[in-house]
Amino acid sequence: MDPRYYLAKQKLAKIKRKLLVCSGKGGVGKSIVAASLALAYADMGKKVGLLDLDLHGPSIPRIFSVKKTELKGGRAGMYPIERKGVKIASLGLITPDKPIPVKGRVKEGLVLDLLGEIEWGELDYLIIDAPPGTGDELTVTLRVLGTEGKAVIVTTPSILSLDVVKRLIALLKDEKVPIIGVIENLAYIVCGKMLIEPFGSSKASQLGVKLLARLPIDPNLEQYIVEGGELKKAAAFWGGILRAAKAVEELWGK
Amino acid sequence: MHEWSVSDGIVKAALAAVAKNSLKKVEEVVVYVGELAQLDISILEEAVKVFSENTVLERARFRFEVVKAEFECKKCGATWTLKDVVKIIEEETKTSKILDEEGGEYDIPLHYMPEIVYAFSRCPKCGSRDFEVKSGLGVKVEVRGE
Repeated sequence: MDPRYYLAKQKLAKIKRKLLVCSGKGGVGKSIVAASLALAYADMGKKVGLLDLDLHGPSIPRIFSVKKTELKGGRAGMYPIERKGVKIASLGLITPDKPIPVKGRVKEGLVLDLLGEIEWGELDYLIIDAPPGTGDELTVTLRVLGTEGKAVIVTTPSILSLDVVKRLIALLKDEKVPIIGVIENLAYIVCGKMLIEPFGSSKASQLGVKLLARLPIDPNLEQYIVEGGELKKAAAFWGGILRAAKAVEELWGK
Repeated sequence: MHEWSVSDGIVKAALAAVAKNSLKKVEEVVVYVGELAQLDISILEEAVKVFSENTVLERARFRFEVVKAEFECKKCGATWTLKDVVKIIEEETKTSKILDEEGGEYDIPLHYMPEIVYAFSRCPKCGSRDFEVKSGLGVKVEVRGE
């Protein structure tokens, strides 16, 4: 019996909506989408937390331009930091540059630490940025969340990504986690008057899940991150994020 | 002060075990505390009493056992204990301290997340980060009763 399971359940009970943002493959822009959804909900006046569950390569601090910070703790555990109206927790805040070569049961422990030791307080949304794939980080999180969490899947429309996403969807269905829909990232690029879809048209119908938004490739997005996580400056991208955030709001109870 | 949060989890885990095993009377709760978290046992002892009030655990005896941390290098086969790597951990966590808001002191991250030792330690013999913590992680709870 690991007491952290009970702590995690207790801490998560104070959060109205637990939204897992997951992907089959890495490199599809999941963390950017998760961070953007958190920012969108903060803009809507919601109380939002963003939990970076990527143990090996946490990138949420970089997206919010947090280079150095002092973390605080107390009786209830560790406290998240707050940036742009979003409460943030990530291993990247504890160690910004050291390798974290954890494996197997140790990963389970670290996920339980993150779920059970972070004191979020009351939130409307906790966006959980799950690492790619269907490994320990995701399965332990699903075990703790039970049927309380819901999932949004991020993918590119590439056939390579879709094959992996199908496995992820099968896992989520087996674990009875409702899937709200899919966000297709890097779906198109506007070049002058031309709209180019490097991976072809939407593949959401092949996945049997609702398409929440298609997000463009915006060559300036990288620069907006460097400027301090100004993701809203990427107009078409941000418009898609807002559509997805609103769709999640509407579909949550259905 | 994080011990209070851990104690809350310990009592909840013990109560879950009582319910699962349909125990009517609990004689003893044994808590195995991994050394790496450097938890203050005296605070744990005090806190579990508070969280056990008005529960079936109220009269149970809580016994705490610290499980020593043991490491093994997967590369060179060396084995070591926490005292052998205290200096390495101190050096590696220099810029990763966590301020205890209530106590005003700084804790190392292992206090909250013992598994993060993998980021802050190395084999003292060959320097590899490919090592395994054989014991001393986490907290486990055993309930004895009928």
